[in-house]
Amino acid sequence: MKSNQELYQERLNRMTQAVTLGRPDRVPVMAWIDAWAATYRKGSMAKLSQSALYSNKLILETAKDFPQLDMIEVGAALPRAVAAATLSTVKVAGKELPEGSLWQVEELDHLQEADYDRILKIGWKAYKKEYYKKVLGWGGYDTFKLILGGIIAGRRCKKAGFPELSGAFPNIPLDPLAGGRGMAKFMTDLYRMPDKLKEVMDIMVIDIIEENKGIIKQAKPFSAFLGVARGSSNFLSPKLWNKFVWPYVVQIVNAMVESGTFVNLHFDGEWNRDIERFKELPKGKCIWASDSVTSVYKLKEVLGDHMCIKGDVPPALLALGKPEDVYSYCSKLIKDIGPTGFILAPGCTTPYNTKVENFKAMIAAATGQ
Amino acid sequence: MSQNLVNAMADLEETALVKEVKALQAQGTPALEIIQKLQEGMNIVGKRYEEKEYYLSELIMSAEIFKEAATLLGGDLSAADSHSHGTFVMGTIYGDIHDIGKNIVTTVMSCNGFKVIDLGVDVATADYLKAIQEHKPQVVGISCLLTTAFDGMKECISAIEAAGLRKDLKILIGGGPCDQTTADYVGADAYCKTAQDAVEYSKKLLGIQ
Repeated sequence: MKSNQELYQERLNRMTQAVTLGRPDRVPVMAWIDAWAATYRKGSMAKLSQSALYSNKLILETAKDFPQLDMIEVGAALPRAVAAATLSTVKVAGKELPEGSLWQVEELDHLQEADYDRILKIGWKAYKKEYYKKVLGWGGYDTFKLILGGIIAGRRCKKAGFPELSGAFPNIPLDPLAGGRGMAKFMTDLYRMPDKLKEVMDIMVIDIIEENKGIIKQAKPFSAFLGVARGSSNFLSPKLWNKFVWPYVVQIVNAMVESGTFVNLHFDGEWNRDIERFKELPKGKCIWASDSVTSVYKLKEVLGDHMCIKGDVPPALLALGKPEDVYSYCSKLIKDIGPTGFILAPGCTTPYNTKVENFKAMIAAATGQ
Repeated sequence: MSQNLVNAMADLEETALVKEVKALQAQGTPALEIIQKLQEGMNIVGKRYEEKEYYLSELIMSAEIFKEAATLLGGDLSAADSHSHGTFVMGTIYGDIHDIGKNIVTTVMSCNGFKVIDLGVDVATADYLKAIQEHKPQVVGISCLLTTAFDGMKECISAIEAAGLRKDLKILIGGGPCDQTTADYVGADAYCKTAQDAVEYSKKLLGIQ
């Protein structure tokens, strides 16, 4: 019987082969298990939402029941990290929501026009601290606790033999600004004050890169998670996208790769218009994680020999479908998108109400077990 | 001059549009007539969106400009209500507090000539039933960003049907995790991937060019 460390290495190798466009022994299969761990383990959603270590416990207990999983996206459920990344408040079970509820981002316009000037004046790093305290009610200790929870969860995952896909979380400047300002107001700002916003983003990206380079140096994660929520191709016209999205994606990806990690491009939404542009990113260093809205076939056609594709089992299929439909969908993906440069996974996180038999069917399609 | 207003709306020329609205007001042009010209401009915005010349950013910007003009005319979008194409009731289903998608759809529908009843987020079935009975909409929209809210949508739609209110209205659903499978599961008439889909579906339903 293999030790946890042997399993860890085996899983890591399989994933590395996929990301570097080599030929793994089989298509890797992985999942982002956060809220679903509470469903599967019949745990407390309130505790999972508020305690990194409790969520890590449930996530690992879940993963151990599915040892064919090659990776888990992150070792803990961190709704507060979502709040930090999006400059939004997040309502969680046991506090603002009843037990059993999934956490939900509440996007209010906390960030005002004057805040753009404030960022220009004091820089992004200092501004974030002010914002966290003023809007989210966090002090330095809360941020420290959040980071520490993530580090401990990561160590426990490694000990249990399950590598984490991502351990650093940069974002392009557009996302926290859009989250803090509110989407409609932010979109109009792009029209009404484009030069100022560009200046703000140019300041922000310097701090974002520096901060994440430090994390990568310390934690040496398999990949940096670059999630773009509000910058997809169907959100922004080419003129805006070329100015406010793509230059920052390129800068951040290159900086993360130079720091020695892969980049997990967690790009929800529809990106079909701009898939060609991703050839500008370094070959064999990125994972294009699709939530099933972007055409996975177009991704394969255009980027198949350039970067690994991950996904894209639709959330509705996992929550509502039959196991045979999930198996058939996943088998087709493996056949059409694999066997190289492909990782089978749910599009985005594993839905809270995923049927266990559907999750098993997804894994079986990759492993034959 | 009013063609300038249509063009300013269609081209998202905010400064020019404000200037035109003020000039038309000064000439004594009725507010309703100005709103109609703005809606002509919004039709062009919709077409450009369909042709992928415009994207969500432009839909939102057009709605913001439209609202700004409506405010200049002395009200939200109420001047448009008196000659609306029809009534659209929308909310985010109970158990879900996300409002971005819902707000985009309601705004875009308003700007395209529909009287919109926005029920907010976390909306109970009883509130949908009450709104349908009160406002007699042609179209109801249900938004959801959580797969856990699918059953809520299904229950709500069944309740609308059980109350005998389904006959004269169509029910649209939309939101991040939704697709046609979801629409079939919950019993909706259609799944709308974008806000403009809701506009197009509703216009087609009501025979509006």
